[in-house]
Amino acid sequence: MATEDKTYVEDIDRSLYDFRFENKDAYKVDEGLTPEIVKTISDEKKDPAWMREFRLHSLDIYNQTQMPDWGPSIEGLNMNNIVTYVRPNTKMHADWEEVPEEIKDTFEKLGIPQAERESLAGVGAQFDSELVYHNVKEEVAAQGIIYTDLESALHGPYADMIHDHFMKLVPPTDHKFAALHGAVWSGGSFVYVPPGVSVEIPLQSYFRLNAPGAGQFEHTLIIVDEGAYLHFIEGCSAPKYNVANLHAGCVELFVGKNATLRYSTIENWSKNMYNLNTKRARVEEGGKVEWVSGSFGSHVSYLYPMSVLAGKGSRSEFTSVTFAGKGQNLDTGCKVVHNAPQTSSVVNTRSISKSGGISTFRSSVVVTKNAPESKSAVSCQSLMLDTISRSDTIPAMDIRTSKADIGHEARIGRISDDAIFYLMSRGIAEDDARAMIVSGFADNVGKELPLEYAIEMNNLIRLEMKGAIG
Amino acid sequence: MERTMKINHLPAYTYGWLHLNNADLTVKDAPVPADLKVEVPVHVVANESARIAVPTGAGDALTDYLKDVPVLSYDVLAGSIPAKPLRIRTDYAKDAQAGNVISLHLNAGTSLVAVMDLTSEATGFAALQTLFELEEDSHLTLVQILRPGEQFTLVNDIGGRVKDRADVHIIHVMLGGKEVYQGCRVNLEGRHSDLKTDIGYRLQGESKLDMNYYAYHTGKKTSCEIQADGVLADHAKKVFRGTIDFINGCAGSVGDEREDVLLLSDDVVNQTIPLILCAEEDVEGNHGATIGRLDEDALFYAESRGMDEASVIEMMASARIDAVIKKIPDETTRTLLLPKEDDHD
Repeated sequence: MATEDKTYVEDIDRSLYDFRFENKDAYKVDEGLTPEIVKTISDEKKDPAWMREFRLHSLDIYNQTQMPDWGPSIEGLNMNNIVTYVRPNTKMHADWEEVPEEIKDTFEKLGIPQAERESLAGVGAQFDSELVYHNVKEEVAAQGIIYTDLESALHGPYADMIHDHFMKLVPPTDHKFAALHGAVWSGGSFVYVPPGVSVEIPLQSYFRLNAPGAGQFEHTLIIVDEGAYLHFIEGCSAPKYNVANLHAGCVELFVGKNATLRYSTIENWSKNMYNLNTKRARVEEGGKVEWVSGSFGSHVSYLYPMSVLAGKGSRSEFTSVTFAGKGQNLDTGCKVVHNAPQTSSVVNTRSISKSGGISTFRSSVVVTKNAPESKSAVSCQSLMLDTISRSDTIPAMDIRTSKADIGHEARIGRISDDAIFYLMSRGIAEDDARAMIVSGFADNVGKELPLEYAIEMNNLIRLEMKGAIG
Repeated sequence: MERTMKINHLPAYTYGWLHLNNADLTVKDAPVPADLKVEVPVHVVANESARIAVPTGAGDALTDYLKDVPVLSYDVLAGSIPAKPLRIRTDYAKDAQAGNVISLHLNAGTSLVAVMDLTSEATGFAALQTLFELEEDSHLTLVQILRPGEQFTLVNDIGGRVKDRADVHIIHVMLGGKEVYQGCRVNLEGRHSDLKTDIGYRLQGESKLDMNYYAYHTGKKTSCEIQADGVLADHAKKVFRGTIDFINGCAGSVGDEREDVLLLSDDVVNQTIPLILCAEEDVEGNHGATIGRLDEDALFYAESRGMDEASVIEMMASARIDAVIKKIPDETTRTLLLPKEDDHD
């Protein structure tokens, strides 16, 4: 038996996601980022005056803010080459039959309408910069749940609510790409769950970026009121091009007193994507936010969902898996700020690197003086599948009260030879044994997802691990 | 002329708002070598030699600041194991602006215990840089006791290179000071080379301690173990950076890092960032941290035996530091630091 041979791991077969069509009728702004372009987008969106001003102010902040001096290189991203707004030649519909054939076909291939029929309470589908489909089941709407596109909400009865919450958790001053988002955001969803209402089945928004050299800047704003429950699922993908694409979305979650919000993401952008996304939740007394995240795509990712535990006894859970393959530098993790008594956080992550991929787990846990009797437990594990890849762990803790219990553990290593040997002694081929171990390694996320999404994630892992003994 | 330099760089930067990527050190004048009291044991030769070219934990800015300071070099003669430690101590003068560089070279097969005890008057500044090179099969135990005055700023920096089957055990006991900056980088270049650190610190008042420990693995089957235990009280502030860096090619290496911090006041600031950087598949790296208050069960047990809470806390805090002191392989130093039996009466 050639025990020293290494498993050859093929690059992922992305044919499932790597299809496209030339959308000749789409309207685009010019490449680059200027006040004129921002004004054009604002005109296109029919922004209220405050939003137009907000965009231009954000552009000023963007121009004054430095690039981060940490994290993966984003030198390959040239904003002068990015088209910040691409409008498909269609309006938003509430019936798939009214969506243009090619766009509908795109989402059919991604399984969105089928998922809506079988397991979702509502769906929003964004194509490039605009939503092309948005619908919520009647029985869900009857509970008083609002699930709509953000632009409609800006002009409707919830306009004040949007004004009071939009980019309040993630201000444009937060970092350079938050400022960029504030200037050119387009699309995304608004969800409001009234007090005491429990949404039994999930809502989902799916973001598809079709245009080469374009950016997608959707904004998701969710307010879960006192005692309510919601599971929101976010999916994203794009075909691969030879030019850089950019995703700088923003997610703001407001979790009310004793409310719970689960936010699940399966991110599968193409490997020419710079994914510079910002997600943040504020959790009030007794509330809970649960982040479930699978990161498989993108060329470069900066992704650190943040939980601000603002109310007494509020909680956060962060569960993730990151799989970095050839040509990928995925810098992922989370941030937690404990700023109220008796708050608690649990972080449980897995990172996998192969074929020269780089995965970095980066986190921060901050416990302020306002958070006595708080607890935090962080566990991150990394798996290296070959000698040409890289895996880094960069967790930070900043503790400013004595009455806290903070635990942290991390482990990095390779697949145990003993485990492989054991499985092979039971008649399992070596590459199958490795795939089985990796799937088990990522099971922390799989078991938290609805069945259909857990299957999709396991398919992605299986595709990544497909290989032969070399 | 006063200038501010960046030292104790994190090998991989993170979020700027945490202010953990490096530390600012302000110096007023060029360094003047302090008077060091050195006891050189038999088989160790003091000589003049060039500075060992090895990166340090504090980094290039400090090395540049100390570039004109004469290097005190000590060479352990081949085939010898000195029976007594190399002792270096100094009591920095009031308003000192001191800088010293010490170089230790252990020839193949030798062994040395080096004990450095740094104390000071109330105010001033001092920087000590210790560089070492360990040849094959040599063993260095480097003990450094830092006891600066309450308004004194002290920089203690280490850079070392370890060759095949050689090992270094670094013991740090850090007590007090206005600001203490501790840099330590060890390059594990040789096959089966090994680094072990035992760090104990106890800070109170307004003390600030900024640490940067960096194990850089390039040799095959190298190992490191970084253990830090500390106590923070009053308004003390502590930053601990600990990095295990597995460079591609260091197959079979292992690294383990543990930090245990007891917080005794709501006004302390405890910042910890333990890194594992890994470019090699065939390694094992672990780190863990436990930060917080005294275990309530332990407190309850001790109180049920008749001790008041303050005494229990003092006992638990002292025990952490004493456990590190007891690892010092030099009775003279242990006796100096450990409380006398009578003290418990």
